[in-house]
Amino acid sequence: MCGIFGMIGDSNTTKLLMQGLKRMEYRGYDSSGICIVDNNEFIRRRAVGELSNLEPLVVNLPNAECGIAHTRWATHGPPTEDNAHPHMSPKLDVAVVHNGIIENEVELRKELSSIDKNIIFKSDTDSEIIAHLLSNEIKNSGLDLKKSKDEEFISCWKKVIDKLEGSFALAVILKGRNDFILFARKFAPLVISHDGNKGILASDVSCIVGITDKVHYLEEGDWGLINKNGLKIFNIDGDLVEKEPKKLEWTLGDAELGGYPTFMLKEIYEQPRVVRDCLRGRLSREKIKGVSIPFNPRLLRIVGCGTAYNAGLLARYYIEQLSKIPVILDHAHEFRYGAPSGPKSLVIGISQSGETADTLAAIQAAHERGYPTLGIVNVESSTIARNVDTMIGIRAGPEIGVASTKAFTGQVLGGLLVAMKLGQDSKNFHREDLSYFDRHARMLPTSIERMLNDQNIKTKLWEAQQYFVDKNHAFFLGRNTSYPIALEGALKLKEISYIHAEGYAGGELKHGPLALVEEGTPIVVIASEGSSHKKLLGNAREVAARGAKVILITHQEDELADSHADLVIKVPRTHDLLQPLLYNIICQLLSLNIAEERGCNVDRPRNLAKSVTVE
Amino acid sequence: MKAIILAGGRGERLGGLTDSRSKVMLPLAGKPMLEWLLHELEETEVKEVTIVYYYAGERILTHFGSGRNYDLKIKFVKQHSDRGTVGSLMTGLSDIEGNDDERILILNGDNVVDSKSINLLLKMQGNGLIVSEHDNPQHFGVVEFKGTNVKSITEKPDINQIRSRMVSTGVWFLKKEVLEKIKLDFEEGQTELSTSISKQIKEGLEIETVRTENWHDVDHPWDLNKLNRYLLERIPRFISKKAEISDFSTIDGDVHIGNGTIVHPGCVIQGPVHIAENCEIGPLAVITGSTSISSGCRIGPFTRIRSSLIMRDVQIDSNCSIHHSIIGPATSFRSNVEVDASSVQKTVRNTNYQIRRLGLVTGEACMLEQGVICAPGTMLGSQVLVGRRTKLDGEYETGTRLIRGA
Repeated sequence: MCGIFGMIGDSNTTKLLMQGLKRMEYRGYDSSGICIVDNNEFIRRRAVGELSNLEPLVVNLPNAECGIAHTRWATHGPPTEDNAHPHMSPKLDVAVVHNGIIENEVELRKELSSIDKNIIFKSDTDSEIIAHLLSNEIKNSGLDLKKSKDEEFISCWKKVIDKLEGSFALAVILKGRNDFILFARKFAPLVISHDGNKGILASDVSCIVGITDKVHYLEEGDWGLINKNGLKIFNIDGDLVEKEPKKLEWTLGDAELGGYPTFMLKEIYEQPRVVRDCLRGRLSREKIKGVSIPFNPRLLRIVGCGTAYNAGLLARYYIEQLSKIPVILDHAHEFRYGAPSGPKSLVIGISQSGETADTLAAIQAAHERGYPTLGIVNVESSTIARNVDTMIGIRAGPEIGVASTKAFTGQVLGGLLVAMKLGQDSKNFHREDLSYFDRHARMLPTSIERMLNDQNIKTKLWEAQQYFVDKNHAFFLGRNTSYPIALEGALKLKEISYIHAEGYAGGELKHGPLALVEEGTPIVVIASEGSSHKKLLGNAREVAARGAKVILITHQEDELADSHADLVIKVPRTHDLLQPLLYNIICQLLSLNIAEERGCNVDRPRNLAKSVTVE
Repeated sequence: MKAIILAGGRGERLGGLTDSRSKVMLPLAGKPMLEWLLHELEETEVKEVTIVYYYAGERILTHFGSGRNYDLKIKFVKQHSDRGTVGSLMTGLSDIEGNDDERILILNGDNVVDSKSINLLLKMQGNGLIVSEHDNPQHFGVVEFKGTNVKSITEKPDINQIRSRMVSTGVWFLKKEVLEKIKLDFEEGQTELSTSISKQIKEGLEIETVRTENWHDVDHPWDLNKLNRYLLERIPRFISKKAEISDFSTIDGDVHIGNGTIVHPGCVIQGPVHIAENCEIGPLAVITGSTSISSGCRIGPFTRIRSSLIMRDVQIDSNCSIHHSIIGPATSFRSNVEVDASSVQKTVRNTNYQIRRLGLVTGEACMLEQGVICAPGTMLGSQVLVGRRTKLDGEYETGTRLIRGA
């Protein structure tokens, strides 16, 4: 959730650190800070709130060659300046930035207090402890900050890391030493780059595209030191490891607004490309390629959180309908509490960043129980991608907006590819079915483009948003494959507009939620396919009769629509399996418009951060 | 040197082709028209470009991203409302306010003009305009001269009163004070650029001219094929190493084949032909003449394509014959679709156009089933569904369903 950034060897370090923070702001934005090594002192600046509050404080900082920076999403202690990173040791000789959670914080605090009874912790954070520990270790080892060689600090650093339990990505600098940065990672993302002259450490590749195009991905438990000349990486056992850098696939333009007012809008408009890229080389008229499922599973278990969970729910409908194999869907964080599901189960983890701590933990639990795993991820170099047996990259490109849009579309397509593959393997989804699907799938990007530029839809969306702006509650209804879209529509709305929104299956209405409907409650009904559609329209009638304002999202050939809603938004007709994706894009636009009308920051909703790397 | 490109208009007369993109984004010889223009500007003194968008502007933003791939500093600004060329120009000017350039270059995004003519224009001492001869001058600002300077510009004159075939290309190089006066005029309600400048000419403004033969304007669908042919001539032979070309195919002349494209055995491709990325051609398909095929298309076995513009994600099944046609994105043909092409006469806005060769024009996402036959000059809107063995002739609106029994 937090973002860390470190830089060495460039005389413009201060400027580049700020630039890096700006790119990382989506990872957390309730406070930020930087610390640079200037001659024999640290210079540290921290501020609460968005990065723009830090900017004026760094204008007059000297140029430095070495520094670290942090953008925070609070877990331990409220967002205050004292709790903002970088944190320092009492002697002010160590500065640290940390992303993750130290689980043995209490024990470590006790240990430190037993060494020095008068010890004062300046912050409520678990991160500050790390600075204290390293400062003590340096003192105990008798090292001299000025004279000792950088290698001599490596063993001190290892001793500190060994004491830490939990998750962390760390970057540490020492007073007066502008020649190296210490780092470590465990269950939190960190990438490193070195071009021979300068080195960079960052939580995420999207923060460093444009500065470098080659990066080293670290394994769990890797740690080491980076200096002007190069880097030393050790594994968890303390052995020096050689790593070949990998070339970054993403370009700077992917991580920039490029004329768009918000990343969310930009990413919504990228969805035609996401569809093309995600299906390219995988979908043909005859077979599904590039999706390998090495055995015939009897049961599938899908795990994900938030938007990825909703994509997983849609994947469940697809898999069960096309392959007749039963699917159990779990929130990733609840997976571990369930019973083992017996042999021949395949566990599918869905995560945009591939770093989602909950999903990663579920994948690891699956490994422990001996199940094969399949990951549907966007970041193909991520921890989840490297930990699963089979990986499907959704090829959506960097997603910066905190509310996921294009990644959902990619995740759904990933799930659909798996469903079709299983359907073919189990002979329930035939070649003609695939050929028919393929023809429509190739038309889908253009259908999305048509929809995004449809003046009539734009007008309807504007009318629809008027139902919401001054409301505190809203509901989304779906059935069958449109039920996941109802959940996702409600999630988008609550995430960015702060309107309380819930998605329900139409059939569930009478069992409780109907009691919440009152005069003027906006209800979005997402059309479903076949016979379930008529049932859903019946549900629309029920809520309308109780005074709700009904917005129906359906396709152009739906002739029943007009008499069932206050407002009907019609999208192009496509294949039944793909139709929910078009409805979802309408929900994305609707939420975006409502949030903007209410003056909310859609790219950085309050309290949320992009990739949730803490459990 | 700074330039403003006006790219706000839709291109109404291109029918369904501009449903989800503006005219400047139509792909020709592998690139949108606007990109061709930017490449021309890279060869000039111009260093900074402000692109003013309005209709389907997000498509422009998504395509060009941050504009880093050009030797130009590119900025995008959205026109606040649809208020004519001057409204668009004013949006662009307010963006570059406070710059110290004496003169500004103004271009339309939906034309292509060569860098040589632009460079001549930029060498002028005062104000300048590029002019060109046109077969249908009545739709443009017709220019009359005194010496090489402009004597008058008559916007869309009556066909009987035309005394010159030279028209304004809309490529202007104007001094700040001229632009200031245009602004004052605009505030009084004048939204046509050439009308506003005409007024200043009457008051004694001098405008020098550059004549060019390399200005291409797109007004009607059939103009696209003409411009495509012209642009294809500039494309050298290039076959991507990331393309899969069967050894049993014949690829002759200036043929471009992009990354990830597969050419199956027995195909014949005779340049000038541009095939973009991730297409699948053949087996035994024949592609000749001045043909562009955008990315993601699939051309089936035994299908023959000549002198056509095939846009993105088009699927053409086996044994189709398509020539002198413009096929909109995501259009899908089942097998045995026959397009006939010949000389065609079309009447638009009281003007007769004699088109030398025209086959089929489709908008976006049309579906033609097996054995459809299209008469020369057939024009479809978008999302037209055509049932098996239907004979098409004439024009069909968006959303038409020509299915037997329906």
